[in-house]
Amino acid sequence: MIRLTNVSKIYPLSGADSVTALENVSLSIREGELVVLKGISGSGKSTLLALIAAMTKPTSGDVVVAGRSVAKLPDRFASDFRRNTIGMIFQKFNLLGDLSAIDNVTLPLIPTHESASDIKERAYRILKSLGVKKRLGSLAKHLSGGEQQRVAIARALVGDPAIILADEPTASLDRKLTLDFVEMLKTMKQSGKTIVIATHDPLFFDLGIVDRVIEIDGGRLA
Amino acid sequence: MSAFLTPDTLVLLLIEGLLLALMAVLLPSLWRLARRFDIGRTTPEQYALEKRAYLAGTLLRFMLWVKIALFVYFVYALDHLSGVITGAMCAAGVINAWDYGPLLLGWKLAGLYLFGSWLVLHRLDLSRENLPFSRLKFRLALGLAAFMGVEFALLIGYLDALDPATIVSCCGTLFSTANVSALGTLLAIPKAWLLGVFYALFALIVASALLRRSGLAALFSLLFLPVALLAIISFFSTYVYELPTHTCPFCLLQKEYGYMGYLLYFLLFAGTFSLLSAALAAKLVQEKARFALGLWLLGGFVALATWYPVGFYLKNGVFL
Repeated sequence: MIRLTNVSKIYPLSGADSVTALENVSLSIREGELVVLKGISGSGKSTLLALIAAMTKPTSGDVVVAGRSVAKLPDRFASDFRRNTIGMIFQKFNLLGDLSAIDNVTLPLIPTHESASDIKERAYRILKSLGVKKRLGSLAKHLSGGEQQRVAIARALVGDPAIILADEPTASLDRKLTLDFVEMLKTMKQSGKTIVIATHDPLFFDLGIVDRVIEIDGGRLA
Repeated sequence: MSAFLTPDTLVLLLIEGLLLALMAVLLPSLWRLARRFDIGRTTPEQYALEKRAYLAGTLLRFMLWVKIALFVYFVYALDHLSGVITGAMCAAGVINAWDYGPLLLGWKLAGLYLFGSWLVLHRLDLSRENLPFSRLKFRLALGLAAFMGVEFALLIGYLDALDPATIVSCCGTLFSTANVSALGTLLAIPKAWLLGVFYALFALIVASALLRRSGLAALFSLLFLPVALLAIISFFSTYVYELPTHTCPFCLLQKEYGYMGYLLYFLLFAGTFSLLSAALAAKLVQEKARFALGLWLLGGFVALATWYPVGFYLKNGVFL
């Protein structure tokens, strides 16, 4: 499902300086697996997720996701790829604060040319299943942390992507909300999604839902 | 006063010079891309080349669109210069004031088709995930750079040779059947024959496009271009001027005739190019050729050209 081959990512800084975020990383993740990328801040976890999501290109090496070399995708194809294949959950959720919860969820479907009523219906169903039914019309900035996270999850799932990528999804949540999120992960996993979570939250490793832990240290697999 | 110092030519030279300078800046990148670009590789060099290819492609696309638009300004400037060059009544006299003037015009005309073809290739390349034509298009871009260099040299030579004090021939002399030249010989072809070939070729273009015969549509479009130009000079223009002895392709560009030439030539050039590029695209990406736009443009050209003699006949009851 996901295969990285000898991937390096170097971010150039001013002058001749640069930061090596990933160095010669090779790994593969099977379909339906729930994998946790473990590592301290700055270890390269987010870069790895961004590469899988075709949000950035490697400096060398290849990234193949769902049979496509996404490292080579021109930007216009990368957008389509992300919309159709990837659901992304960010640490700070990245919702548009001045849009309502339901509008945030419908956004990724607008370029798909589905009818507006179908899009609303899908967004409504998924928000309802995540327990945000009563706050559909509330602006995202007025939602609590837990609600924002559920809206972010709904936005990631609304396009029915095969792969869910989550970057520190519980970093700003308390223990109860984190446990709620873990329950949602179980549901996603049961529906056959491939899930990759970048986190250093020890709770994930204690609950036994993770198939595999990949440890990253200084841009290399440990 | 030198022809260099007219506002039109200064603007023309400035823009052409800037575009050539930009092309010179791009040349090292084009050279690397033409030699080293290989989408199959995953090396740091290849990823760097892919970024460079995007930038170079975007700049080239901008430059070539400007070049295409600049052709219209070039023709306008030529027409305007007829007020400065002694004896010139329109752009015909101005362009023939230097032996290589017609070559410059032909070069620029060929440039329209070459630049347009590159833009089509660029669009096709970007429309595919694996950028299949990148290396080819950057190799061709190197050729375009050389083409633009020659064009600029011709333009400088031409403007330098223009002498306002030297009397040049007017279009009445240049486009006369009495003119002892290849053009004079062509203009002596009987009009009935010429019109027969003109309409027959148009019919063949329509038929081959409707039958999706890309190669034939392209071939007939190529043949149609010179025949149509000859038909404009020899026949249709006389009905625009309403004067049987006035056969000039350039006076059509003047205000007295409602700048009709700009529309007529746009339809002809854009139409033939559209058909040629549709055939080229169909060949390259193995898809159905999209001839509709070309057929509409060329149909518009034929209808507009035909309207003048028909309108004249309806108004006066006779042909010229």
